[in-house]
Amino acid sequence: MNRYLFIPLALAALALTHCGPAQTAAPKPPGPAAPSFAWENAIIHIEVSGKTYNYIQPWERSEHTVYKSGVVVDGHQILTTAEGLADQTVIRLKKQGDGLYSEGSVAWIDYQANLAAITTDDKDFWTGLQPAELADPVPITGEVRILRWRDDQLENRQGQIERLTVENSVLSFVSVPALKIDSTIPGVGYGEAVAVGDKLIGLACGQGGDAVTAIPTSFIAPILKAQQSKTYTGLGYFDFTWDTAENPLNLDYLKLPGPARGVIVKETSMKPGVASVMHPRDVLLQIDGFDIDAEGNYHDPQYKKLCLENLSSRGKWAGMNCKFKIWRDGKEMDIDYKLPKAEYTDELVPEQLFDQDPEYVLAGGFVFVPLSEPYLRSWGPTWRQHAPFRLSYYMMDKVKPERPQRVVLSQVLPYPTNIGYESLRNTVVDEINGVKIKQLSDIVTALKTPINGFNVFTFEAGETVRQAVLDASEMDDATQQIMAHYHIPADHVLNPPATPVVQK
Amino acid sequence: MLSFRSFGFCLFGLALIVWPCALQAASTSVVTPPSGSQSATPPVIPGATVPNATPNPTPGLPPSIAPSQPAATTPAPVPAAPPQGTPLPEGSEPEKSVVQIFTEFVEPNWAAPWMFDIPRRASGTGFLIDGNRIMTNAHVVAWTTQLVVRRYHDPKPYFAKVEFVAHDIDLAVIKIIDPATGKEDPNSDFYKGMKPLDFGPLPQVRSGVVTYGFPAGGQQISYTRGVVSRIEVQSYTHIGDRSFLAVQTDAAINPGNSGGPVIQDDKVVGVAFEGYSGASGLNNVGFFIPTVIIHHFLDDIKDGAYDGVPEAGLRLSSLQNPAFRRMLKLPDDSKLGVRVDQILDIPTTQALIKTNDVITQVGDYPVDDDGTITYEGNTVGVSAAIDLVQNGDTIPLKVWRDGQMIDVKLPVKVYKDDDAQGNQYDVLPHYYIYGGLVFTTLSLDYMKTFGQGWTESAGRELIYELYYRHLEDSKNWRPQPVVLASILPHAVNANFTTRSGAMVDKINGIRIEQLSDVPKAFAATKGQDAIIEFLPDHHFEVIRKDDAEKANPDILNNYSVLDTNHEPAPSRL
Repeated sequence: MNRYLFIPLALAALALTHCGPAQTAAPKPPGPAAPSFAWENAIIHIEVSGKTYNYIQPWERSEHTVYKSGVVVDGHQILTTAEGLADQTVIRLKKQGDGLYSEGSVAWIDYQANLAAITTDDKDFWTGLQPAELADPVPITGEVRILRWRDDQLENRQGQIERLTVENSVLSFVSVPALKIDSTIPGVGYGEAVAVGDKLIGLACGQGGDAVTAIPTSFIAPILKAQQSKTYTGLGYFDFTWDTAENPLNLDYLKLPGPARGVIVKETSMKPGVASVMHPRDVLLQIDGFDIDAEGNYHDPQYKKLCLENLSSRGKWAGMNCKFKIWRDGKEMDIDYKLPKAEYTDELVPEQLFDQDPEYVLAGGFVFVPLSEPYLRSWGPTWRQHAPFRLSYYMMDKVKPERPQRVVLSQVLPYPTNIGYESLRNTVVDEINGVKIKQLSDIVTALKTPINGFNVFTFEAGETVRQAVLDASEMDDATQQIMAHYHIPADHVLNPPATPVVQK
Repeated sequence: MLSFRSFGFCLFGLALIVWPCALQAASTSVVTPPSGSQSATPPVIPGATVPNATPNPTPGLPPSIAPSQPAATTPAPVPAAPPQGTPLPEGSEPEKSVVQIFTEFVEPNWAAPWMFDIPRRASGTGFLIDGNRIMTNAHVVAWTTQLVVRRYHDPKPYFAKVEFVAHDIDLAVIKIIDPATGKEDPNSDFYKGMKPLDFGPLPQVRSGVVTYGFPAGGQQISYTRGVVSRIEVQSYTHIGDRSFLAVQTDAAINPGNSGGPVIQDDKVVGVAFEGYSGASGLNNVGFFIPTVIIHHFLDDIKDGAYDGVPEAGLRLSSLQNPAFRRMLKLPDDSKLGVRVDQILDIPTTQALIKTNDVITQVGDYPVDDDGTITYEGNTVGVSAAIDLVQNGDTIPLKVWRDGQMIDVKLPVKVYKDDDAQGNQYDVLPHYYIYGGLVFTTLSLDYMKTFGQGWTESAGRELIYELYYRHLEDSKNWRPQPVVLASILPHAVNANFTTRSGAMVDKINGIRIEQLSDVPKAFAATKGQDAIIEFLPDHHFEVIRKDDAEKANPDILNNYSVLDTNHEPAPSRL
């Protein structure tokens, strides 16, 4: 045989030996190679100034400024976390540690996912900057670098990945993946880049002691791609709660044969107005082909054991279907579960009220506000213990069509016509003039129909006082006087923003 | 917010720390009003017990010293009566009638209700009254297993037992017993040379009083002098969710003074019972129970049983707003009347009184629009008038309704449905154990076992069930909510993921209204499995009936549980 021919044949034989049926090698997470990427050309320092609200005195505004970090990505965008961007008034960007700021604006923001992209019309800003590459998948062990600008110097600190887990998003009840990193870098959690080699693997979103939490780019990259292609519909979630099936007798009771597996559904229809296809006491056995174990986990091909909640956002968005295999009434069934969109108004006490002025109605000195978690957080970091119990207990209630919101008499601004009610506060409203108050805007309507010349306010049973009465003919004048006395610009703010009825 | 049964702690509007003044008393509690909320709002948010920092009584007693008898002399001229409030000379009445009380007490463990806390000791004060009775505070004798009384300058210990106790108004009477028989010993040496003290009237504000007692223990009686600062309806912290008339004084009242007499002109004008700690920011503030409350107690027990202070079932609200008064058609020149805001589930009251009735007079007392009456020259909450009557009495009311004044005779009885919302004493917790699952009744005492931060750690559904359900959702209210308090681990229950503090909804489909339903529901198990469902999210656990019943004896033996089922009191239903 011609020896020159032998070599190609040998190589071909070698290739044939090592290639079975056609396969694509699974992508591997980036390893800790020495970086050749110049991160100083991708990390951006972001200054965000915005409005601060007072939910107890909802007509007041102050300001705040936060400093964040972001990473340049394709499309002249700077990827960062959404936290701190709500109600912003001015965004400024600084690159490469130099002293000049450029004005920025939000390109898109997803509070549920805690992600946002900032951009700028300043074309010169992008000169010299390089978009970072996002890793997908991400490593779940090994060393990382955490990068940010600090006093115009690029800080580059070491960290060690502890694990990938699934937990509530920083700004939402939605479950999302989270990288846990051990690092001594102080004061992070504002979008700092987490990198391995030349690739971005996460954005820091929180810190507790030496434990840094980062949003992994395996979660970010699909969202970024969908945002850029305008196919993103927002995060979905599983709108049912479940219990682990560690007590095998519970599964016996439900007549599920075989080894313990799956989780037992408890409550359903958390998404208001949507009838859930899941029933209480269904056993959820499989989601999109992933078996669910009795502890509520599935085996992720890249990230090993993860909580089933991760499957609500693993490459899927609101409105998409998940394939469920369930056990119901002694039979196995396949059902399609359509992911409902995660929205703050899904909860009776919304967790956040972003990008909107606080709503209120002022009537005769009575200040009415919608019950929300930002209102409860007015009681400080220990609000769960110190906010009025009955108000915070409403967090256990669901939104109902007949009551999508709870309205609170927050306080009474004293005036002679409301004497006797000075100590009324944090009292939940049931009706006004016989009109059920389902939401704040109903108050304006209800006050138009006094009863025999009196406005009758009825509060929920169990409140300290069930009823208060004001003279309807005195109310408008009293409101005007109170607004002047307490420097209140309008007698109501309702969203969507309405023209104030009375202005100072 | 006012009530014939006010939550007195709420009247303060301050963050307070008030302790009953038995030294290392059984029922000391830290009371703070709910933050961010208005007065008189359930729930009570009491805190943990105040740790006692004072030493136990000295074990060895000094030898007795017999008082010397004066020689016979020509009677001296009778001096003019001293000014009101002047202290009497040393050795004269009434201190000879004042005693020191030592109690050994054992409280149950409300989270592990077959167990008890370690025995403890405390001391307080008492004094002799008519009928060979020693009066003291209920919190001095609560949970007692042994009472020992020591007379003035006499080291000999005398055994005693509780004759009647009133935990709502924090009073008790005890009697000396023969330790051999455990029965009352009316001929005991104890009474020799002791004269029962008489009761005086309600003292006037600014007048002087002297307290007699044993603050911080000790062996020598102690006296403090002060003035009557104020007379108002105040929280009685021993029970925690009741308020009655109380007298405030700047005479020092400290732990150990509890139960001691407050004397004016040789007469008892009150029983010292609680005070404020320095941490509250208030100084020189102590309280005593006035004789009107004492007499209520003594009259109540004449029939051989203590019933309690009755409840009208009315939640009242001040009616100072002119618009509201006009709407209710009250005359323009009237300054009287409180508004009925809510009515509790008491059928007799619901039949006679309506919401938005205006009560202008209770008995002989006109009611002002801020909810106060003038009681013996003092402006006090209207509930003081209702507290004058006995269980089963009728209170005459003047009621403004629909533009007219009407007379209503309102029968009142003691209200027991909210016992679990306050501190409970001398009744052991109810429990039932099945397969190692320990069920008990929901109560404030149970929730306090979660520690000082129980308002956060106890579970919101427990707090709601105890304090709000009956007001907001009476159809679904349970007279005796049941919790799975703990699990005694055994193979039969080892796989349970539900642990302690879970509210029980149903067992085998049977709604659990009270503890006695639990054994009945387990007995009704069909098939091999019993299913227990919990609130608020209806999760469930299954236990195998045969395995549970076989395991019971082992479990009880392992954990030294004497009874599977402890329910000494009959069901309320």
